[in-house]
Amino acid sequence: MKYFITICILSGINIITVSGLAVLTGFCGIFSMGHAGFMAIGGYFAACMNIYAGVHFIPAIIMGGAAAALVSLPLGYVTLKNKLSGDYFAIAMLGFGESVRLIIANTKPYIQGAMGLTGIPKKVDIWVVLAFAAIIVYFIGNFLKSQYGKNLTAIRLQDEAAEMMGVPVMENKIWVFAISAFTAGIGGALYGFFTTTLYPGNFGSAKSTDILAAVVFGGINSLTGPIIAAVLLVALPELLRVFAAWRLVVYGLMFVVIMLFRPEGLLGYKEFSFPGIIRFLKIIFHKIIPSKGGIGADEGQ
Amino acid sequence: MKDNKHIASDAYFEVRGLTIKFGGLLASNDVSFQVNRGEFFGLIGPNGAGKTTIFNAITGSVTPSGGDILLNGKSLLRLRPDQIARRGISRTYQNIRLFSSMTAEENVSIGFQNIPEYSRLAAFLRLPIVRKKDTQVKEKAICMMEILDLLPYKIQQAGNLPYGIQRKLEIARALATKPTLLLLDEPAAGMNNDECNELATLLRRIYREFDLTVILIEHHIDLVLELCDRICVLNLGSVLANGSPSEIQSNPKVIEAYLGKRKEVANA
Ligand SMILES: Nc1ncnc2c1ncn2[C@@H]1O[C@H](COP(=O)(O)OP(=O)(O)O)[C@@H](O)[C@H]1O
Ligand SMILES: [Mg+2]
Repeated sequence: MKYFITICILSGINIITVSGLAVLTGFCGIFSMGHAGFMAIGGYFAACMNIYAGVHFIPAIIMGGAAAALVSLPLGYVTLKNKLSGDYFAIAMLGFGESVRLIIANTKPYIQGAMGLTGIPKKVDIWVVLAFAAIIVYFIGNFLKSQYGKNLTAIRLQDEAAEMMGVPVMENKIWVFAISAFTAGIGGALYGFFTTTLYPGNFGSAKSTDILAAVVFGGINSLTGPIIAAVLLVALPELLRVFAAWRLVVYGLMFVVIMLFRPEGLLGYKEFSFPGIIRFLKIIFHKIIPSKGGIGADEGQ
Repeated sequence: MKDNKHIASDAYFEVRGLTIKFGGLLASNDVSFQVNRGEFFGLIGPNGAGKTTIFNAITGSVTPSGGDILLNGKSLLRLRPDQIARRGISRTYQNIRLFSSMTAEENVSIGFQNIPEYSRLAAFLRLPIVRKKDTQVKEKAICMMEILDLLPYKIQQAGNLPYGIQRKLEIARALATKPTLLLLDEPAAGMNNDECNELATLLRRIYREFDLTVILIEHHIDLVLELCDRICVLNLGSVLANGSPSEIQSNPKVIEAYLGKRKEVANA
């Protein structure tokens, strides 16, 4: 049971981190391979605020997100303003993520460098994570439903035309980048208060790839898709631990299959909803058991 | 239009000595022309003459190496495309650039609410103002689509619409930013004669209804001759001639470089 709750908590933290990245990557089309760097900033900042400044853990978590967002502003300004896009931006972010990891690993005072920051009070339980996840997903869902969200999609589809239609593209990108950094920071902060230790190695490029994979796997232009993927990507490796040796093979195969058959991701352009599921089941049902007219009737139309 | 209904005396829009280089290629060579407020202005010339490049420079997506572009006497250089849009310039593209996986109505809405009239914080919290403004914009978009006879397509994905409808939708989207100067890049490309005539009627109608100044790039020469008050002919990046439709039609240089090949069409 404890094990199950641990998986739930880690899934919840992943949901929070991934939902911001879904806005950046899935809606705005900006790929980042360094968001673990923002998790690290949020995690260490929140932990230090709590340990050394005595800030209550809830405001400390929010301050962790804010610190990550603050760092993202100059970074986004420099990279996005200079029209660094596509792979170049992703790689710049890879560099950023690694820099953050290395700076932390080499900073001995207060955070003990590579030895890891230990002794963070255990404050986060399933309820705290669920509350944060619910609030953040709700806010982001609202944001995406508003015209701001539509404008982001327009930027992803045709940034030049979007800009010509009067959408301030850079401003939107920098904002979205900050939002994604904020949620990653919150994710990192929750992680610290849950595991009670933070190691720079927790936030390497593998972590960045993991959260990006959840967005790509979950589907572009979708929030619920990446959320489901965020849970799967935490739960599956745990389930697959039974066949540890085959884990990466199954993992890799899954991605190849998704990319081959649904390059837009599991729920690309769609949101998970119960009416949607019922419609889907009906379609499947009609395919298996053709209605009165039989198969011929379908072909006739 | 031939009736020159609202022409002011001072140049409303001016391209002055515009020079654009792509590496060694001189895509635009010291191009100058003026457009008056309310004028329907034609920009013609063979393929590769540099017409689209001039539009790109006007809208800020290409940086000229020399010259100036002025709207109401103010330079547009060094402004971003969205700032230029806010000055009242909008355009369509030669290669359609709709937001293909969004609905037709959403495409038009973006022009109306390129900067939402509520803050991001309000959007996060979904305050009542968000729904109110988004509904208003939807109504405006539908109204615009009605003017252009696009209503039947409003919930269809833009990318799935027939080619001619996509061109019309691009015009609707461009109009949603409330331009005073509309740049149309080959709006009749790929259309047959009937569709061309229909487009001419539509363009004339929106030109009047929205009180526009228009610069039209088009290869269907009869469409240009019919609609435009004045025409500028480009060839190999340079201005070949500038004048009224009848002057252009009888200009020997133009006939040799461009119209000659299309004499049958021009005389038809
Ligand atoms: N972004 C660009 N980079 C390099 N060359 C370009 C670019 N845009 C246009 N050109 C070149 O400039 C010339 C003029 O192109 P264009 O303005 O599209 O002509 P037109 O619209 O009159 O057919 C062409 O030779 C074209 O290949
Ligand atoms: Mg062209």
